[in-house]
Amino acid sequence: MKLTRYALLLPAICAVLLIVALAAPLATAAPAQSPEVLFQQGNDLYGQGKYQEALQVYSRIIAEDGFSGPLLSNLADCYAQTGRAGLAILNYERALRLSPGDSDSRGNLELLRKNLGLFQEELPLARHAASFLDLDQWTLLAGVFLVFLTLINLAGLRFSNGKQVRRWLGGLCLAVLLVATAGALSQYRQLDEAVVISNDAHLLLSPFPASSSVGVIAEGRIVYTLKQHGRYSLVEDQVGRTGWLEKDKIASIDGIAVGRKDYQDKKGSAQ
Amino acid sequence: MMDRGFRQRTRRVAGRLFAVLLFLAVAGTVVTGWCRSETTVSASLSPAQFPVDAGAALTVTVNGSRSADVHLPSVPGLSFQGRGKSTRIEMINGSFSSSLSMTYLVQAERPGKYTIPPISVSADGSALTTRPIALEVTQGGGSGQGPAAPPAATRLRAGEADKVAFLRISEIKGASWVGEVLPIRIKAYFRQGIRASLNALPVINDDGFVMPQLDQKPIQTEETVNGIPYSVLTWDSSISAVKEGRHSLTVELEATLLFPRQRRNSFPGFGDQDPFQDDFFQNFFGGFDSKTVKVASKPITIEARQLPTANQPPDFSGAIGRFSLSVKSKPAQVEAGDPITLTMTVSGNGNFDRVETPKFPEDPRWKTYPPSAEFKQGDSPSQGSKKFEQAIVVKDDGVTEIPPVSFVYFNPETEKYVTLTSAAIPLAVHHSKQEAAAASAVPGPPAAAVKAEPESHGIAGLAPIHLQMGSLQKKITPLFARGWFDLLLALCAVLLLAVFFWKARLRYLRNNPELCRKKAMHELLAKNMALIDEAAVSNDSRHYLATCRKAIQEVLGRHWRIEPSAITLADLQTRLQPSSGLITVFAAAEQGAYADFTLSPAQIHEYAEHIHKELSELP
Repeated sequence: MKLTRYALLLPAICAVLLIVALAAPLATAAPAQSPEVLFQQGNDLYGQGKYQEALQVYSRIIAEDGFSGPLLSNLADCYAQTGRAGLAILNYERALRLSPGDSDSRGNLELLRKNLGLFQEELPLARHAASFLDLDQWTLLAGVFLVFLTLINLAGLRFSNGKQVRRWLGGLCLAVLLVATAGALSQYRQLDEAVVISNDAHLLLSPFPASSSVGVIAEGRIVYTLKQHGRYSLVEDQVGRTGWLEKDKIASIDGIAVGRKDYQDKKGSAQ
Repeated sequence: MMDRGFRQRTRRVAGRLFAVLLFLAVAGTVVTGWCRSETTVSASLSPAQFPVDAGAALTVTVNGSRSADVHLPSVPGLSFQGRGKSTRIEMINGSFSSSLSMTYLVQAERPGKYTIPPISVSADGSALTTRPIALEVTQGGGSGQGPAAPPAATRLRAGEADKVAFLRISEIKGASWVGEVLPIRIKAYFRQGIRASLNALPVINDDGFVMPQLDQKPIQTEETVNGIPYSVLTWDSSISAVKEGRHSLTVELEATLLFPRQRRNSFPGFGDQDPFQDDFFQNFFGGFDSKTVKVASKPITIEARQLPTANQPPDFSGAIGRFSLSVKSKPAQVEAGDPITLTMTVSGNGNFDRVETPKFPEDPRWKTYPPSAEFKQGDSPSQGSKKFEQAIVVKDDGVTEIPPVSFVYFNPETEKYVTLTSAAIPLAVHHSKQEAAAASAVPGPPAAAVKAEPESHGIAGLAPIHLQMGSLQKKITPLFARGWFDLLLALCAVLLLAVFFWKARLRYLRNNPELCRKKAMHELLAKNMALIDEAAVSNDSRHYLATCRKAIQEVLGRHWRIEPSAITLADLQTRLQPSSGLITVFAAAEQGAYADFTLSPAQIHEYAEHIHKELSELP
């Protein structure tokens, strides 16, 4: 008799637990909005000219869910429209890291730099050629041609005819592979790139507040971080000037991560 | 009682042991020094030319010896006065070297050219000579300097004679303008033989003047002041008045001096010749007394005045000194809207911290941006050049030149404000193609731009925002750091290596035909043995024997390079040993082909053994 009662109770308990388990996430997720909805909301605010509010919405998506090229580009647009050039350039650069072919972001970045007078010095020919592609693009090119080279060599084991063609193709692949590797190596420094996000950045001789200044560096300029000391970073700008900058006056292009509590604070402080 | 005696004996033995060790150490040190150094002698005169009412310092230096007798020559018209001797012992990387210097004051009775002949020096039983020294004595200058002071050496000032350390600052003009930079040289003198450590850098004790922080590493030299050698620390810096009025300026330096502690009693039996009174032993055994002192320069009075307000240009930023201005621009041909770099360099001597960007004239046809500045110091802290780079954008294609820029400074010598103005730079401005195209192609702004933009800081022309968000990611990872990409590269690398080794192997085999043949033989034998094994399990003796026969023919045919089917029993009997098991098997197989023939399992096994053994042993 007891066994029969338990046999009836067990499915009922399981059913209740199943319902609770399914309903719990729905209940907690209900107040939160999906990133897509927030993104659309941000776009609407931008369209209404409410750049500051749109900026907050985009920042919320980044802090909670992650980022993408278009999202960072829209965020950069908001910064550009609210006059924070350094942060705008930083986010355009980040957007281009994720979507190198995004011509809108590239065009906006060039326009912004032109408006700020942040044009680049003429580079030597080799560096100019290397700058056509970024680090990821050179790496991808090298990877693709390494795969081609491997396939051509494997085909040589299977097929005996067409040896001359395979040799030419192999040589071509090897040449492109070497060029792409050299390009990737020359762009390797890109990993240390940071953007000046303060409009009051002075290069200092030593990493101390009382140190004398060796020059001013404009907001939005790209610098390379060489080393750290306390709250200062030793940086080199694109014309070779070196000096110490306070860390909160620059932001690493690759140093963006989801869930960072200081993400919004940092931008706030840079205002 | 016994314990006390033991202690006394132990103390005595320890004392003797210590004395022996001390003697060995000192003797070893001296002997090592003597053994390792070669004795040389040199003489120098500083300066080689001096007025008749002054003098020069003649220094005779003996390296590699700690005692020497100097025999000064007699030169008509010149007199030599001994001014002391000094000994120096150095230990570098465990190697000792010693040198002895004797200083003499050389004075002349009348002007003229003289030559001090070689000075003979006796050291360590050997006679050495210096090179002759030429000198010139000029007429007295009447400069007020004492008759016996060497010109290169600095004369002690009143109150400095009894000092072991003193501080001097260079001559500074008595009047200055507030903000004007005055170069200053600070020299701290410490008598040689006295160890000194600085507790702080020199400071000005007048609040009407400021001095930038001095270098932590001053220039270190040696100077002789009235025949006394001093170690000198020199700082080159600048001061500037911040307050109007009459200031009495001194520079102070706090240092700790270590004086060698002198032994008062000589060892008995030595009298005045006590060798332990020598500097060497004094340094080793005498110890030091330390004393903190504050060394101050003599006060200098400077009258600081405010800059004149009359005729002061409105663009004056406080620059005082003597400056020049050069201006360059790049590029020379632009489209309207393109940026131009204006490089303005202010060079000269003065207070560069007050030098600001030369003024670009207000013009609605130009847009200017904040400049960057970089200062490069010249020979002194107040000398150098400051380079300003400013981005300017021409908005009007009717512009034909970059207007002149101006820089204002105050010249303290002429006591006037000077305005430097650059020349206008020719510029070719083309009409912007982009603007023209945009004006013709786009009738109005995009929908988003039509709306009011109360927060906008005015960046027009941005591309529309993205409407698709794309896939979100958590961090920016470069391609080469992604796992799948590394795996792909590793796979390609492994495959390429495998292909390389495979091709190398093929090439190796191609170049070794004998190896290829052996390999083919091995494969052929393995294949036929497999067939034999299959036939063995079929229980058909005729089939088994036929397979064995065929196997023998194929393998031997390959080995003898003849057609396998042409091989007969006669060939085997001719070419193989009569005792070969292959002949037996082949004969049985031929017999079995024409008669009913049944093999026992033992025979089958035996035949297979023969075939495998003998065929695999073929050369």
